[in-house]
Amino acid sequence: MSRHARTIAGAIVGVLYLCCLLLAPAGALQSLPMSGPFLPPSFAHPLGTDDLGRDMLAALAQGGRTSLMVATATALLAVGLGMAIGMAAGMGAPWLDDLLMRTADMVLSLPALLVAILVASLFGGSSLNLALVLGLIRWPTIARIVRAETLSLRRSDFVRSSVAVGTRPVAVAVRHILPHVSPTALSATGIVFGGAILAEAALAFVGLGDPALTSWGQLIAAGYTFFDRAWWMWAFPALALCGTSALVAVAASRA
Amino acid sequence: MLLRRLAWAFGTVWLAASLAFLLIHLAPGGPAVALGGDSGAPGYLEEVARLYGLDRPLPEIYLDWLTRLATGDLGHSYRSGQSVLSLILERLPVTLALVAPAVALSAITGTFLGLLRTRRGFAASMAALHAVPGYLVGQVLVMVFALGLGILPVQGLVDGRGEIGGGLERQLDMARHLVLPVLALALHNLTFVALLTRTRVMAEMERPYTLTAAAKGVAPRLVRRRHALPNAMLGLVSLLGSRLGGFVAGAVTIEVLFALPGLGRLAVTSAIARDHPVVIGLVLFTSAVVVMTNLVVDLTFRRLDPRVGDAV
Amino acid sequence: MKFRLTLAIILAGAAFSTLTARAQVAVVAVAGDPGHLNPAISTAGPLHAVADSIFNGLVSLDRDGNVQPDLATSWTVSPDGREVRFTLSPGVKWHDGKPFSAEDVKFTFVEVLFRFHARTRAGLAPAVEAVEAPDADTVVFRLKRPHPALLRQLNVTEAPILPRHLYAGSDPNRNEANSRPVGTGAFRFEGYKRDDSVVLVRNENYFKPGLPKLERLVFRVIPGTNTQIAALAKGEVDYLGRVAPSDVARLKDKATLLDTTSGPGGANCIMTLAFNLQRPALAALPVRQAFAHALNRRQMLDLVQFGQGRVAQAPIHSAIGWATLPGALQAYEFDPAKANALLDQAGLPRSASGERATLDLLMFPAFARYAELMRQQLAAVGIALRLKPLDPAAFATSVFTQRDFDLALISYCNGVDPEIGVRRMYHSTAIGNVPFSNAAAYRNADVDRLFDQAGSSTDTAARGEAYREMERIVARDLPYWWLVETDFTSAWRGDFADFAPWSGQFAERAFQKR
Repeated sequence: MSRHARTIAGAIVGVLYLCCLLLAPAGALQSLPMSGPFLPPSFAHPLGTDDLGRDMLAALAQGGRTSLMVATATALLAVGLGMAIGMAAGMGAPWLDDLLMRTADMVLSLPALLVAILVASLFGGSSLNLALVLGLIRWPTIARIVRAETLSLRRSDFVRSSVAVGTRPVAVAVRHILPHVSPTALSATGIVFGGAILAEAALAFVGLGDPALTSWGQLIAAGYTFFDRAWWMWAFPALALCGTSALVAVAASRA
Repeated sequence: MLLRRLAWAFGTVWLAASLAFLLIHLAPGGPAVALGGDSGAPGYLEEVARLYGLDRPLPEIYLDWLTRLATGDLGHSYRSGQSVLSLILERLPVTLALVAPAVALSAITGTFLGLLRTRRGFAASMAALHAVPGYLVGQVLVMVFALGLGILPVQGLVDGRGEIGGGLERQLDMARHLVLPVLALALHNLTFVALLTRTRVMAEMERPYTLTAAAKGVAPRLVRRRHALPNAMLGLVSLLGSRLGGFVAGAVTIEVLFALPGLGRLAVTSAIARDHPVVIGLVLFTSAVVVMTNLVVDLTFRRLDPRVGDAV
Repeated sequence: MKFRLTLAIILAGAAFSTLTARAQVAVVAVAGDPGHLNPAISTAGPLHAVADSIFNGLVSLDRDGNVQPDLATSWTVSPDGREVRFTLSPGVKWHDGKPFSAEDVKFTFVEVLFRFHARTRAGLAPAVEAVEAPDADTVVFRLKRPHPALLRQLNVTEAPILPRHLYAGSDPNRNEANSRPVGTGAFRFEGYKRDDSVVLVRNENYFKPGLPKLERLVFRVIPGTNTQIAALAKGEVDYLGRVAPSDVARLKDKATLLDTTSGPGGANCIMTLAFNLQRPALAALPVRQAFAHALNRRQMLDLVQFGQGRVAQAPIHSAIGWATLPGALQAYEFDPAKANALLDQAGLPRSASGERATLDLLMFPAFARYAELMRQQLAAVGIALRLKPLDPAAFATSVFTQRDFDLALISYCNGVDPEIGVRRMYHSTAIGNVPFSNAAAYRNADVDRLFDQAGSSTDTAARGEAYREMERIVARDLPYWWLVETDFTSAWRGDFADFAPWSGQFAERAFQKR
């Protein structure tokens, strides 16, 4: 995958995100433009209306905002934890490295969706809960990459000299290692981000999503019910979900 | 070495189970609510809590649970009174019948696809296809094959009327019911295998031994199949092993969509019903299976391939 | 192409061979796993959908709510209305061969139903002084006061009779018979696979001659209405007890459809918005009046209910003709401007971003569409809703035990007599830890008095007058806002006949046309 294509894919996701933020209804009222139910796509409603007569474009933007915000929060949490733990493992004593990486292995082998289902059904599927769970489960992928990079950087001359001068390890990590690990970690972050979009949708599909907010997964589940009457209620959210996560996958691909 | 790995494996399972235990006991609405909440009989909630020993301090419940776990006792379902292990084993065949063919199908087809002479954009299209969740694939399959063409069933594992006899006829009926769910689960995962095969094979193609083979004049197709693939396979299979959790997770939505009574449905319904022992048992069981599979795969390959060192 | 054709022929052939061999079997879809099969300790829908076919009540109710014999062949009410004597059908046997007797009835009421069945415990137990079994074929109910609703509370859904010989001296919540039930009903239990299916077979010794006609009754657990509908359309399922209003159109030419206002455990239901009167914002009457003017109930009926029902005209369901007060809610026409004015007047001004207040709305996930529409409608008057769908157990805890909510969306089923399902909504003694009781925490001494008066009289005209007076008061006080009377639709495949979706024993008479 050329660098060019990756940049374009990333840019499209960014623009989509902005569109969602701009088009979605603002404020606590969450009110969408309304007219007749089951109207097919038209000039007034480019993506048609749903069973309650709500504009699908606005609903899609509203859902996108939820999906993308959950994914962003998840990615931020996973990156923060992953970077910190990865660098600590790479820079720290062997026993710390061993402990952290074994913990990472443990967390990786947790059935993520099962844990998410558990939390959603126990504490309610609020998007905050979901982002917390996913972030806390997905950090090891990033930590592993960051650790490997840190280990190789650690042997490089500029890091060695910095250590020799007596710079504290934390400062070395922030000043010299952080700038160098970021690009690789970013790619892994993209994968976590895309995974979070899909996980949120999967939970919404089994009925454990955030009930207070519209999300793509919820729109797909609802749209499936009305598929033979209003294909647009299913097709557009499905397209948005797959399209976005595909673009994210492309943007994050390293091959 | 082996002992150390085993210790970590047990540690992982213990962590998973403890996590589940903690979460579920901190959650609002206990088994008392799930069992007696409906009738609301005065004093019954307290009675249930006492009955299940839930009126004790949490550390005490945890220790008690851990001791019983050490003897292999996963406890009993609050709802049905059935032993958790027997509940899980009862459901396991359904999930296996779904996951095993899907793993096989996606492994075989995915490897084959990954070996195809790769055109430009192959990786991108595979990555894009992988972004389509299994249940969406399933919904499309249902619309086309079950509702549109009407040639395959919409839901269930066997014909609901229960008139189909034993033996081959029953097996065939089950196979008919499993076609769409297995396809849905496999289609989502085979793209992943294809991508992985391609990356691995490409990496092998740049190693000296494959370069030598090519220099000797072996056809590129044969270099791929005879030389690069077998070596790439080792890493592939171990990665597939680590993806097992992903298959099981994917099975949850598929089981819900096709109304299959597997482990995924058990997890969802038990969690909603606050059937604590069952949920804990499931998390424990799943992570144990994943950890053990990884362990076995790792150890086997360490034997077969000395290159697989501690780093992997 | 050729291959595909061959495959299609093979598959079609397999389907055909099962068609020709078809016995009298009906496959019924249920939305959730029943959990266990003891209908006397729970009011859960999926459980009763299955278990009611295994058991009997003392009486049954026909489509119009008239009382018909079931285990009891006849009954007499004493002149003062305080003693009701039932004569039981002779020679009834439990599925395990043991004889059924009046002792079973007495035991079930006293030891199980009055303690664990939510509705019977709340709605019947307080009126009963004693249940007696003077001989094997006679049961006597001694009442504290005349209780005219009694007979309608004795059907299989409200009061299924359990075998005393299996339950005596045990905790009925943890009895083994809960998962291998033994009843007197039309169908015998054969097998239960959790989250998958329950299989019942014909009770050859059923005490009603010639019944049942079906040989097997298979309940399939199918979550997701969409899959249920698809399965019915494809012939994998024969009967759906409840079809969501949005799905009715899809089945119009594929199945026999029947609309009723009553179903097992839920006759004459009104989708109702309960205001938590203990919350300061909602304690103010003008705020509740504003809700009444701001909510477009016609739109709810059209868009969510797809026309399956009526806009509520009175606090009591219109099907209870002798008690309802048509036009009681006439004063509250849909008028957002008026709602805005009322809210201004109540001291809830709009903020800079346009909202006056943010309130929590609790409901079952199945009512999410109502809630979403309500959010849209209330946004127009500046009230923001936070939607909180909860499963039944959590909902009951939040609303009735912890009282932690602002608004709750509840389908209150009035039953066939207001004493069954209306009293619990308003009487001050029904506030507290009883699911689906007085959610608003409404207290009005006059209303209490009118209910007590209507509940202890046998004169229908006088009772109706008391209920109508009560309706005038609550329509003024607005502890609830009554939205839409919801009708049920059931569907079955065209080759079946005589299903009775209004009863728990819906398949007792059903048969498959040859």
